[in-house]
Amino acid sequence: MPEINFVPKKVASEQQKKRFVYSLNVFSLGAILLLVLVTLLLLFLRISLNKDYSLWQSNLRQKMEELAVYKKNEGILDSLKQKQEIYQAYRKDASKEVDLWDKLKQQLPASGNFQKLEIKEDGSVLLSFETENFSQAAGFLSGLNSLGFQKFSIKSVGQLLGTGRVIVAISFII
Amino acid sequence: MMQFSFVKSLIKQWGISLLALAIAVGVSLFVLYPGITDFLSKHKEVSDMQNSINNVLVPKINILQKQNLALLSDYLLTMEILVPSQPNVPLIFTLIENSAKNLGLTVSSLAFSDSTASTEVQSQAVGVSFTVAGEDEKLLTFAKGLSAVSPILKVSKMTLLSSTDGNQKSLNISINSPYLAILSSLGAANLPIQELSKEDQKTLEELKKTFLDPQKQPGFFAPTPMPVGKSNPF
Repeated sequence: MPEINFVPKKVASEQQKKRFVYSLNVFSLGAILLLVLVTLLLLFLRISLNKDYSLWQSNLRQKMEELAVYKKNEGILDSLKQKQEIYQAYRKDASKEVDLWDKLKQQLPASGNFQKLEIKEDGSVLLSFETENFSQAAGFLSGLNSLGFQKFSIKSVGQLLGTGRVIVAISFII
Repeated sequence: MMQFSFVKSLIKQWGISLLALAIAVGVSLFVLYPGITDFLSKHKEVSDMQNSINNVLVPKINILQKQNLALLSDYLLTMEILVPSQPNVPLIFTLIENSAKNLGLTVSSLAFSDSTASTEVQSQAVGVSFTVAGEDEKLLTFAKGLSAVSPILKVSKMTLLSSTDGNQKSLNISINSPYLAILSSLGAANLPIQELSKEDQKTLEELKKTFLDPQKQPGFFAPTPMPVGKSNPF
């Protein structure tokens, strides 16, 4: 039967073999020790985390109890703020249409008259007015520019037979 | 033979060491690594929860502690007059009729439409449309007065039509009146709350003086005096 040589050539000497085994053992022991240390550290951190959690729980309970005392204040304050928000949104331009009517009325000559003034929800305005003559009508239209309505379209212009009064229909957007 | 016994002892030594290493690696991978990951995520969770107490609950309690409940109740009562919890169509009808009557105008039609959800803010609004007839100046005074009454009314559409002789006019107005029920349940405790700003308090104080005045209870309508307009340029 042929003899098989299992011993590597590099660890052939007895001294080298012993040193190699020794190093391996030390390394393994070190790894196990490190493992034990890390496990202990993790355990310690876990305990600390549990303490933090308990502290948070008791803190939360205490704050919720305090909050419950002021529940009524919170309800009133919340409702108040909501209603105030609605009030301000509505109040902001509650009389926009009426204000426009007032401004237009002030621009119209005393002898003039609004035949129709229609202000729709989308802000479109249809105005039909009557003046004594063309000059007054032109004066009113130029007055619209000073109110900030530069872009308006003239729908129709007519003159009444007999009286000579001028009727103009215009439309614009506010 | 001697070499074979050495190999046997070597394998024995290596085996123990390798087994120890394998256990170390195994424990690290399957026990320590998940343990550390779990610890880190839970630690972050607990610290976030603690922060939410410090950043939300504590300031919220401080704000609520400072509030004057009697004053807040007065403000809410004022706002309840302006933005009621329920639509009050009869009150709006009475306001319109009374104010028209006070000014010598005639109300020819009065109708209300179902509540609609307001698009501007989170509320509902009841729609009322009516037609009043009379002199031009009085109609304008009437329309101006609408913005000063309670509950708050907002003109959404208006049409002014002149009679054939031009002396009498009829005014058709569509108005919206918002309403919002008082909160029956509060939001989550961790939702922040804002106290009233100085500007809000000033506005509420003025409104309180105006609308909590016994003489200005709903139903009473005092037409606003005609403002002096600028001189006619023509």
